[in-house]
Amino acid sequence: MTSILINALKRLHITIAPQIRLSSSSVPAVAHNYNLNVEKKDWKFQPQYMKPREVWIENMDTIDEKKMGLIELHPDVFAASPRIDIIHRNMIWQSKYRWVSWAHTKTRAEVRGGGRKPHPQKGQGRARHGSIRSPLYRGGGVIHGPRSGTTHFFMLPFHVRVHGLSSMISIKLAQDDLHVVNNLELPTDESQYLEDLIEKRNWGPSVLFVDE
Amino acid sequence: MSWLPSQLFNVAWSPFRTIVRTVYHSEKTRLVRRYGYKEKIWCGGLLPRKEGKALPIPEYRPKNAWAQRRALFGQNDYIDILGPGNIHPVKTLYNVPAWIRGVSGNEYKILLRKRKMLAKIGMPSFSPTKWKNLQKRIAYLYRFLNRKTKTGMSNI
Repeated sequence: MTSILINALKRLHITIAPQIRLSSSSVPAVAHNYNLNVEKKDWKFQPQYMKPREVWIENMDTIDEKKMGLIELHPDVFAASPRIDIIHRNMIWQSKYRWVSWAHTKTRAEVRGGGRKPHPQKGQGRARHGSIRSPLYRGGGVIHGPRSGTTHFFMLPFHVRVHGLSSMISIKLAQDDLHVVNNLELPTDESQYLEDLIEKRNWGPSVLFVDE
Repeated sequence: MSWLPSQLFNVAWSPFRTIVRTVYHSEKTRLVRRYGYKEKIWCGGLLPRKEGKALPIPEYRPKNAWAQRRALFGQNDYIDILGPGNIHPVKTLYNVPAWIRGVSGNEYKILLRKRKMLAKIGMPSFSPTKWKNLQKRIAYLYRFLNRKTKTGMSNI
């Protein structure tokens, strides 16, 4: 299943729009001549329990979208039952496993000074102390404080991560945020072209372009 | 014969009872002096103003949501799944010191690893004070963890 995911993402030119796209209710009145060449794939792992999902292939040549054909997507990757708890686990893992806490406090051994007994044990009428850097003192060391280089590293099991990826991509497809384009060749080099394209097609505030 | 004194020590010495820690450093506050009721003279509302100038308010500086760090967050986290397969995400932790990369553990384990790795590059010669403090900390943690704390529940 993992190889399906890898191959699917490698072979397709996918654009993913992270925000929910507003559904355009205006169906084009003009009858387009669609060449419905559904690319029938020879799957390495035949979809057994669900039908493959079909997605439009769009173009990047013009600002308006043109539908070039249909492509089939494997249901195990693109139609997995979305597990929000696994997605949550993945997100927590992504934010935590790389983080190293650099908070650091010095212990009484590391604070500068404090080797000598400040005043004799008896006779002064003062509390007995052994060093001016003990935790009782102002400016003394901290006992069980944070120590530098605290890791929060852990690895999620491989299949939990794969399940998270397939859940997420299924959600994207189900919410119309996944667009498949035939190729990523643009007619102009200007960045304004892409911005106008995304604005016109309502692909959302942020778009991720994925290619091989 | 260096084991003899430590064996005698272990026979003759009995452990202290240590109280389980309930007060943590992160929850400690500054020393409260004159503990008691403090009367609130100002109960909120508009702040007093001098004629003319408004009081200084900090300028609102929104976070750049598309800065390099935030835009590329988690870019290579699934590189072992979606990539060629020979790279582990641990290998992408470039800005993390070598002895911390890909390890999880308490301070004692991390320090042992740090000592093992830094001894090879000559830390005792170019940073003797830090090396001494490292040794002292490891010795202290050995004594503390083995004599004053219990290990967690075993998996058996």
